[in-house]
Amino acid sequence: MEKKKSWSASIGMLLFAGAAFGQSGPPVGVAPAGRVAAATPNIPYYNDGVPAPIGRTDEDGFSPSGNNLMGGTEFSDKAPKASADPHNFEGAWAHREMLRDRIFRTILETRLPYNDEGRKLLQHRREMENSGKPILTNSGKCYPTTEFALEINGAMFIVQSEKFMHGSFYEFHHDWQIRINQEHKTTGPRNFAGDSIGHWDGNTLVVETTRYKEPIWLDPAGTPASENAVLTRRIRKIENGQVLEMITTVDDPKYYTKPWSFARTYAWRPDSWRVREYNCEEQVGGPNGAGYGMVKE
Amino acid sequence: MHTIYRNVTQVRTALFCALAAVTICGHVQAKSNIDGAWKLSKPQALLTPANGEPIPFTSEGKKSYEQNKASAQQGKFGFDEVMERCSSPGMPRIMLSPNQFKIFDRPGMVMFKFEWNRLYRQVDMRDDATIENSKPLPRSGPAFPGARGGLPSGGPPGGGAAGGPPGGPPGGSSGGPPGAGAPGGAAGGAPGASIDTEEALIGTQMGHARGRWEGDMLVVETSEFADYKLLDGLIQTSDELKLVEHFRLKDKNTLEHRITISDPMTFTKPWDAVLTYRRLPDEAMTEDVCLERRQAGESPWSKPL
Repeated sequence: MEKKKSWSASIGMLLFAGAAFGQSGPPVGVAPAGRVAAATPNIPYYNDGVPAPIGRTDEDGFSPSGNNLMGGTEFSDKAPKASADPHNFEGAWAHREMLRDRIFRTILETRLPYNDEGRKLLQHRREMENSGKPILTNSGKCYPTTEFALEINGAMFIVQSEKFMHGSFYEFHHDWQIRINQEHKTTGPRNFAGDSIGHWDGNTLVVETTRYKEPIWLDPAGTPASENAVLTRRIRKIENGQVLEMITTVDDPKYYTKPWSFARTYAWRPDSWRVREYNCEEQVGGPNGAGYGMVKE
Repeated sequence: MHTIYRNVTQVRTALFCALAAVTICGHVQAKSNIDGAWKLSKPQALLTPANGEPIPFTSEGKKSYEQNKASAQQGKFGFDEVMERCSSPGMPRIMLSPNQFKIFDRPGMVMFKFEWNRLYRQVDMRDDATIENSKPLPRSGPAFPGARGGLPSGGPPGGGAAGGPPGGPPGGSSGGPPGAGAPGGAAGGAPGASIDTEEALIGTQMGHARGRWEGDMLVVETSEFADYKLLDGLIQTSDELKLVEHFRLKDKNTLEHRITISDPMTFTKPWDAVLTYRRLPDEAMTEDVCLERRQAGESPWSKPL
């Protein structure tokens, strides 16, 4: 309880800082300990070389830019509720918290355990963005990416059958297909969204995703994971079944010294029953293709 | 004697009720089990009237159709954003997809999940009261203490320094794809922040579908379509397009889909097309990325001619 109060207070302070300092550079006066002079004119770095937060993203990855779509929304007692069955996730869900641009801390409130390769890749991505040449991601190409879709603030609608669970996302009209009680494929073409299999551990659905077609971005800021990363998501209903808790463990020795985890929660959203249409190919499918100033990595 | 009479009467009453129940049950059919994987029985790229008559085009509709047909015959598909850009085929054309699709009939929702480019279609099965009750309550302050009010509807530009054009989804450092743009958070004092309940200001490819079960038949009415979409591979329709669909199981492995099409800008009267799907084993859907296929030189969609 004490922890929760502290967390809430931190959010308030950070939001105030974000509101006060807008989107132009690090919020002076709230810089985290360990931040050092910028290695490039505009990018601050931690002592270990990991890019520190800049601009509109604060230390905890919250964006003060107003993406507070999910917080504080309430419904009448007559509003439809999520199923009381802990194994039934069907319906509409969306981020309960504010948008996180980047995963700065693990669930243990430690920094992410990058190895040299991971740190350099993140540095590269941040520097490219800061120089006005952000890197084109699958998100920008309207290609499948479960990680982006789960991190940003569009709704998802879940349906289940005996053998499958599908999450349909507004973002990129993405389909997260989870094969229930099945084994990973070991042959055949890989998918951009990887291969997701799930099983129930009590009332927790354990989903393991791996065999990506390409390296992935874990968040919009470019926190890296390789094509062979194993992402294990433990998903369960909490708070009388009206919230989905998702704890993701990233096991990827290519970019991290050890596995690490982060947590997200998604609120039941009867108002998002109709997931809106996102016809992104209409724009990126044109003769100029995807890009809009973004560059290939 | 009186007791016997009473017993006989009770038996008669019970028999009557039982017969009535059987009779009623005979007429009240349960909804069909349309859940599962389906695929068009015979590949087809165009819709044709079920009655065998010509499509009842208006003069404008006919003109547009003939132009598109002539272009397609020359292998030019500039009129077709599905062929040109992998854009959503929308309804009813997506039902002509050569790939499998799955139906999930759930409380308040029938979800169609299409393998083709990972698209989905939702049929809202809720009644008006439930839809109204699903809206967020008004709130008196910003979403989080200390937070600024949200952004104007339409959202911020799509992210980073070179993010997508205005209207893109908020937030990606490297810019999400441009376009749809989730609406920004409601400003303090505005109605509760809702991301998907607002009626679309413009029509969409899939339209707005509401459905109901009539006995064993799923009935779906769809409107609010985009004004630049194709009904199939050739027929241009307007934003006055309306569809009334009847899904009926002919047997457990055969699904009949009757579509009544009306659009006074394009047709002189409503007409029906009938599609038939066969049930498939419930297997995983392949990840289909139309833009990737197109880049590899494949046709995004079956050519109409």
